[in-house]
Amino acid sequence: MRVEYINPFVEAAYNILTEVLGGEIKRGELYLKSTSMPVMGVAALVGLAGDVEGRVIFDMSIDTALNICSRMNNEEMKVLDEMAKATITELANMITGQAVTKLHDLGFRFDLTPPALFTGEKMELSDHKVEALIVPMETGLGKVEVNVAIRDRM
Amino acid sequence: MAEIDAKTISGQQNTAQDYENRNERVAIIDYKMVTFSLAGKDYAIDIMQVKEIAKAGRFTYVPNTSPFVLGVYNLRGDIIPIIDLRIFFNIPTKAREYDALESLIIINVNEQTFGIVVDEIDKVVGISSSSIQPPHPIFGDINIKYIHGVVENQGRLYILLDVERIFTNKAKVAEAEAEEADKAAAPALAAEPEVKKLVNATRDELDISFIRDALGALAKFYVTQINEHWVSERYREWRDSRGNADVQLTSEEDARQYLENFLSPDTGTLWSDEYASQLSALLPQNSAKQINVWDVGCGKGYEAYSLAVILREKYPNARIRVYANDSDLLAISNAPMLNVPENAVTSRYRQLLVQGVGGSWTFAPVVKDMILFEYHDCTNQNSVPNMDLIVCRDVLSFMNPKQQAAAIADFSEKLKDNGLIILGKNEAMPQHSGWLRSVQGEVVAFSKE
Repeated sequence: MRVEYINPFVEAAYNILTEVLGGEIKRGELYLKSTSMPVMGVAALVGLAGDVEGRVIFDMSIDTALNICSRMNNEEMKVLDEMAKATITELANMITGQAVTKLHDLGFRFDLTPPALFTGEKMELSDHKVEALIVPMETGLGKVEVNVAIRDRM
Repeated sequence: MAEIDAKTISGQQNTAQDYENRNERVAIIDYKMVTFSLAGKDYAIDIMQVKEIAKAGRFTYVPNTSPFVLGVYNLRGDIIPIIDLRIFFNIPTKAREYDALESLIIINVNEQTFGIVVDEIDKVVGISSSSIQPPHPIFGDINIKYIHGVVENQGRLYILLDVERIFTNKAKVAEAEAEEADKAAAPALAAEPEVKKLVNATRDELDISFIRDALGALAKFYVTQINEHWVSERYREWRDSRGNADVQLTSEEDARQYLENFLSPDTGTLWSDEYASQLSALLPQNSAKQINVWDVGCGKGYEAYSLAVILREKYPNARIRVYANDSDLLAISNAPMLNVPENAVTSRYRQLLVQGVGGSWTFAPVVKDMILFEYHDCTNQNSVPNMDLIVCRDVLSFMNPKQQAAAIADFSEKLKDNGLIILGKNEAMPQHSGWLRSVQGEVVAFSKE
């Protein structure tokens, strides 16, 4: 992945998570992955198009998702209902939106697709021909993995 | 309508009569042959030599035999050799699947039994032996001395193989090979697993083999055909420099010292004028409008910038694109904004550098725009276009053998036919693998044969 794209995503994820969740957010070691990988339970996907093609996936466990929703809505949420799903979708939108804004300032033009949310157990993501950058984020409410796979159009 | 029908019927009768006439001509069927196909062509063998046909696979491999001997097979208690006729005749074969069953014709020649593997077994065809015509060189792709004759039957032309000739020769060759193998017991052992090899190996070879393992474990440096030449050369130096001390590598520090002078010139800095000129001299003339270059393992980016400057000199009229990758995030993060230390600025680079407000030198946008830095691991899927030049210095040696092979295959696929690959100073493409080597000073380049 192009070096210039990495930081905006890392920063955006860090900023937004700190802003909406509060508390200390720790960024794990970044790494590349191209094998199929398990999805923890809830995955929000935002597609990117424009000068580049690709997608960003926000992956977390159902418990983490519920914790985040409870915090963001300021009320205890026990099931992943419409409201909770909309909350996670919104979080994905906020992070990707900020990253794309940063990239726009650097002169790269991206468009976003509306986010899609996948929930379920024992899911696996297998676009293993694509090399993805994994940004692990350790929040006080659980782990969120930002999985970015974008490449320049040739 | 009725008229037409009548005509067709009479027509059919005519054809039937024709057939009868023809059959009368070949009247006596005194020769039967088993027909089969190899690469789409029809071949046949005298049925008297065929014992049976079978389907079998997973033959037991026998080392040190000719490539067309697939191995041996247990046919109801008899161990018979299996020969692939396609390989024997140099006919292209499909890649063999491990479990696939092969069509097998079991034949008897001079009281010996062989199994031969063919593409497809067809049927038994009866003919008159008088209709066998002598072979002509234009039939088939195989040596005329193995052809007994050519037969036409129902519009198909069969090439009748002279099995005796094929296999009496083969038997002799096989015997000779067996004898030779006995005589040359030591070289034969070389094909055996490592353990046996070590028995005959000298002390030095033993040491080298331990060093190979140690380098893999301590420095993630894998010794393969790419670099084994250098490792053995280096061993002599190393042994002498250690004096009485243990030659074995026992720590990461030892491994680092052993590999000290492995790296190519000017690793981690801008290339010197000398190295740059040598590399430039190796580059072929290329009038293409677009020139793509892949810099695998560009590290902090010095290599990519040096390359961009050289290419700009060499191909002033082309649009040059350097795809620079590294899997070390820390190293490559700063590459797009690389600061060049004052002392590294030579006249070659000066005109393409701009001085920032803080006094530090960075490359001008014309050079920066040529390079696309990517955080990418080339052992993953590579989505680069076809390349005119691939620079991969001292990268392959630090991949495990499987990754190395995959990377070389990928390079070969991505490299244009007139393209060039530059490896590290002490690295080389495996011999006899379709690469041509050319050397200019300390730069070693490979092109496709």
